[in-house]
Amino acid sequence: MGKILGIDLGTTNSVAAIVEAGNPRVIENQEGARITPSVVAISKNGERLVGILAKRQAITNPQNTIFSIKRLIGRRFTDSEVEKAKKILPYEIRESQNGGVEVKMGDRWYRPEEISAMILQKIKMDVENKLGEKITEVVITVPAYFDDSQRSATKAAGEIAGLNVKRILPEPTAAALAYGLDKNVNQKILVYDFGGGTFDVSILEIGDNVIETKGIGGDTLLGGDDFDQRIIHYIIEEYNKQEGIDLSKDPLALQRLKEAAEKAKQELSTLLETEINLPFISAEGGNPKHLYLKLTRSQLENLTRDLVDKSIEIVDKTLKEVNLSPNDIDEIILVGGQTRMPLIQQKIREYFNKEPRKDINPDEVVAIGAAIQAGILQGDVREILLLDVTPLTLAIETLGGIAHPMIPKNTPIPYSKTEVFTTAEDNQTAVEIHVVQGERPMARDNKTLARFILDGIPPAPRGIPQIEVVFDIDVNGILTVTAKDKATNKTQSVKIESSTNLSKEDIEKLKREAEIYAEEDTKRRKLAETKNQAENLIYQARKILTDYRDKINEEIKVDIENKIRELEEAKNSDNIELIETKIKELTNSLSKIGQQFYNQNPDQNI
Amino acid sequence: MEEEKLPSELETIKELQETIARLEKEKEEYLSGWKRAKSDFINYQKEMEEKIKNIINFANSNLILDLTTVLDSLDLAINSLTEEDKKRNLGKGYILIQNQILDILKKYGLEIIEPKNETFNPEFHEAISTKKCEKENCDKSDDNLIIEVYSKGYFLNGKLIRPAKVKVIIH
Repeated sequence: MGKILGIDLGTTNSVAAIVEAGNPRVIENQEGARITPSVVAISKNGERLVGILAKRQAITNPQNTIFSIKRLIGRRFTDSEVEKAKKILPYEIRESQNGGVEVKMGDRWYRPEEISAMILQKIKMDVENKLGEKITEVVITVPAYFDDSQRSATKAAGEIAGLNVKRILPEPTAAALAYGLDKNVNQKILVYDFGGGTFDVSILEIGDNVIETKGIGGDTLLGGDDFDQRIIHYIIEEYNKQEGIDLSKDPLALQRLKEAAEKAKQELSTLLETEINLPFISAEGGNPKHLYLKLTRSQLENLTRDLVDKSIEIVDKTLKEVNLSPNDIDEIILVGGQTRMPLIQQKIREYFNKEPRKDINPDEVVAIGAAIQAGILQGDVREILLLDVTPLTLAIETLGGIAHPMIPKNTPIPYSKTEVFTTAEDNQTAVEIHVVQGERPMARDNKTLARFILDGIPPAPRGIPQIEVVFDIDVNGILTVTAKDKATNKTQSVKIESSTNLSKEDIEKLKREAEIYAEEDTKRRKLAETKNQAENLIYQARKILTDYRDKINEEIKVDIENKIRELEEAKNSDNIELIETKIKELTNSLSKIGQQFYNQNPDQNI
Repeated sequence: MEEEKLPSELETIKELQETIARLEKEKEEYLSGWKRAKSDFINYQKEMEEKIKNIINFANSNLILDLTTVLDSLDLAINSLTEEDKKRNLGKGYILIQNQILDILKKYGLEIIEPKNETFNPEFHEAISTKKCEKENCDKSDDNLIIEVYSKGYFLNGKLIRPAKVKVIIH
């Protein structure tokens, strides 16, 4: 029996995923991308194009390039949605003989399911090429609000593409499956889906092995693209204010702006500030003009707050329609790339007083869910069988208080990891093993799981002893940490029973903290590392001074001693730049020793 | 006597047969699951080999892709030079810097797509804007002709990493 493919057949983009060895994964298309634009065209020389190629030529050939076909599939020509779509779609749309819709492409009229079939066919072929096996069966997702006629038209599209459609699956259900939500536990789930061009809310009720859609809401004309547009307008206005030049009429400038706006939006999901840097954006009287602008996360939030608020209002309205309050919702699942925006996550957290689920790539979660449904149908995923994973990173404290990761979060267990460490001081005879759990880079910000001492290390200069540390988690999540001095084979170990059974709230809290403090933490880690570097250098310098006491010029010696003192003082401050400068100075002074030796050698040896 | 035992023996036989049937079914299920897992693994291995090859070939791809925006800026800088500027050392400097960076990137497998006056092909080009033919009697011979390249496209080791962004004549 062949594999069943899961397909998220989207309005703007489509994604395909499959279960392999029990795990769902997204399959890249022919062009190497994980998403395929849902666009079909007949080029001017009569060739059929699907996906990114069709998209690239769209404006040269608007009458023969079909996109957003999902807005038309399975509809009656008289539907108000068709009326609306006709206004924004540049290709010809007419009523078919049976009252449905037909679109014109090339010199022929097509039913929407034929167009969707072309997209499905490309996906099928790309996956077959990639996996080297035939695909004949699929699970296709559709919006929860799709009625019978839209669902059967989608199914027909699959059949035209030569596929046996095993199941038509609602998108929110797919998202819930992707998160492995247990069908036997009664719970209510809200799926918040902010796509590129549409916004959808669905409320699902799970219980007794059934997933039932309780309520749906949304706005077909609200999407992530609106956020990009806001940024572009802002930049155009700012630039107009600064330079008195209107960029909105210049297609090249607009294209560069569009890319820069998308990049800025993505970056501001993780950074607090980004730069929009577009040199030579325009010219005035032969003089080139540049665009340089800083955009902060809070500026972006101010530009788009009303869009986010609107989405929360829709959530509120949808809940009220089914007589539920935010407290009744057990899980909130985020779908669609726009949900990466921190403001959206914050508003949801505030509204529900609960952490939304977002660890699966929101662009791919629906396709992943479709693949899991496919896996269930083919018997690969019997129940939702998931290996246990470590919820948080397990680390060991090293010099300067740095948490050195031994087992990263989400590692399937059982698992074992060995690493060799050494001492930080000369003649150090004991090391403290401090085991911590969490995502923060400094040990003290994470949770301490255990501390123990390995002593009896034979005295030796720093860096010489070899301490082997093993982190071992068994199937039941019990972590054993062992430290062994390789010279004496002296061993010390500790068993930690509770390394995986944190409550979900705790885990989310710790992860969130890691996000909030990310920037600050990076700085502190950098500081700790710089201090370590300084300490190492001081140690080396002192060693050189002692080892070559008689051979070094007095002048150089005094200089190095001064530089050591200065670096030591700097090291006690928290000023990274100062420490770095002093490191450089000491390094320069040290290199003078080398120069002195080379200058002396000719006299001595020849 | 023996015949009296029969019903209970029949019972046992029936039970055993049922057990065998159940076990056989289970065996089939496990066998096919195991076979599938095995083939998944082989596929995975193959794909990983392919992936590793790709990683080696395109390890620099993201970095170079990010650098192409700098190349765009350099193109724009050089295009904004007047003939007069180009004769001065400062102007020449720009062009030398461009040569320098392109030389390096070409060593890593970068090829430039600069399709001015070529026919539009969506495999390598992305249409950003269009121009209607304004000739008195358009013979359509220049349909789909690229009349302006906004930003160059790039291949890295023969694979397209960015299409050229172009302006195209349409009828």
